[in-house]
Amino acid sequence: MENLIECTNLTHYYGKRLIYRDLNFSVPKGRILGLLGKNGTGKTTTINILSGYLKPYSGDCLIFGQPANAINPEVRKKIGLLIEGHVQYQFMNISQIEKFYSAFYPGQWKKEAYYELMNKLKVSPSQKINKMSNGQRSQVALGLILAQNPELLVLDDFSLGLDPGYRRLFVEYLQDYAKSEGKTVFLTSHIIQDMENLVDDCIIMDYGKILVQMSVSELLSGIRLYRCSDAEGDVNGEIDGLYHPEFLRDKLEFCSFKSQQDVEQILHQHNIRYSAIESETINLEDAFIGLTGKY
Amino acid sequence: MINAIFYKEWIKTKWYYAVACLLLIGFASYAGIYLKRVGDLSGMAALWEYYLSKDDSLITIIKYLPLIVGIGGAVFQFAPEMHRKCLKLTLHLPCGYIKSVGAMMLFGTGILVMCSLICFAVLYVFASHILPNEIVSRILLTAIPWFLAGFCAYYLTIWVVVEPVWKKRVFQTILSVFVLKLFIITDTPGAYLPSLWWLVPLAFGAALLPVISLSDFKEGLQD
Repeated sequence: MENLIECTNLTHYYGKRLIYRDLNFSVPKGRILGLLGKNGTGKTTTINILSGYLKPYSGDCLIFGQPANAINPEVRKKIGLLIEGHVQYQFMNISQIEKFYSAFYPGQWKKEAYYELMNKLKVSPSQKINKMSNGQRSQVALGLILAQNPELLVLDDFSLGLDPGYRRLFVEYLQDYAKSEGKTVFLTSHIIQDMENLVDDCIIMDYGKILVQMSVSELLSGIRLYRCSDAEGDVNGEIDGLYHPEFLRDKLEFCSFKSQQDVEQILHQHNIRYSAIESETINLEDAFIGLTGKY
Repeated sequence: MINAIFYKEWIKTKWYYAVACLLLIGFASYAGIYLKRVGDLSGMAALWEYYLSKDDSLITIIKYLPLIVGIGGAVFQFAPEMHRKCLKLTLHLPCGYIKSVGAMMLFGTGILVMCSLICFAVLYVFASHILPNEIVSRILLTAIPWFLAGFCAYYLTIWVVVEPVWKKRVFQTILSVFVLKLFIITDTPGAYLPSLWWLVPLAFGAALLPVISLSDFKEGLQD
């Protein structure tokens, strides 16, 4: 399958602080990939590198086969970009901003897609963007991307500042559009529950590295939350195969991709005693917390 | 595409440039009325003699105005672009970042040229009624460096506003002050005539400097 985004050995520092080293990922055509990570793990850094606004310390990032910082205008037409906070030209009004952007995308601009969304907001075409709420602004930004009709959508923290209603509206519109039109999407969000029904694949990042890179269905069918009762033992330090084991009173909790039999063996090897062990499947948010830890 | 960028700049700055243009016309008219009033009170001959003997350009009231208008134009055009890094949207437009920012600067330059020409026309109309052509042209030539300072200030301010690194911004601001000082050292009529050949390229050459700041912005440099 053709990859629209291909990043190899990306390494970036801010000053002396390492953000990540040797990050490798690709986004195949027609897939929706979500980049998940806690604050400061490098989600926006990655988006900035992808959109050509940050030169990585080392490594390559290709979009449609072109270096992200030197994409030619014809290829740029195929990329829809949502900047963190749904940033748009605040000094324009609803109809002015549509008129402005339409001039850059002759032949591909879908004016009606934008106005369909704007009509739902029940705001007048002369409504200034700086007088709109965060939620309304998010719809303007989404509407402009839908009108641009790009092949690849790069969305940075689309849920930032949105109340549940607007978040739901954004996700539903985006999902319907991306799936029905076969668009490729690379997105980040700090609200994991929004991603579960939206993304096909996910990358979960921790500080400096990728923890998991797989399809969401694969992740959710593979990972389990384990609970051990009347547990005793030392869980300080890393235990290979178990993610963030933590005692809650006399209960030990952790996530793992391993089978119960393998987990029991690992616990035995580390002298962790317990009276009973049980496991359950979990949702994406719990998997994310289980893999990255609460702190 | 260029028209669309002009459209965006027009929406953003129309009120600012309208006020700036009115201010320039107002100050130029005031300078012209002042000349006429002095001529009426003390006689035209005395006014000409005063001009020739005192080396006074008679229109110093407008000296700093083009400079202020230039700085304001750059701020009104580019500060909204830097707010929440909105400039990323402009750089993402499918026409190349030099072309899109170049078109923004072309718009600002065009408006400044228009404002300057209107101001010169107002000064000419007032002055040509009461002064001989030789003195009128000398007065207008004296004002040319002030207007060049306006263009230079416009480009230098863009250079500073777009720069993402604060340490560089401070350095650029200090350097800009020294450069702009070169245009307004003296009000003596005709003093700048021998220097115009290098003041013109200096003023318009400053238009290349924002490319450095843009490059810093695109590389994601920060303090």
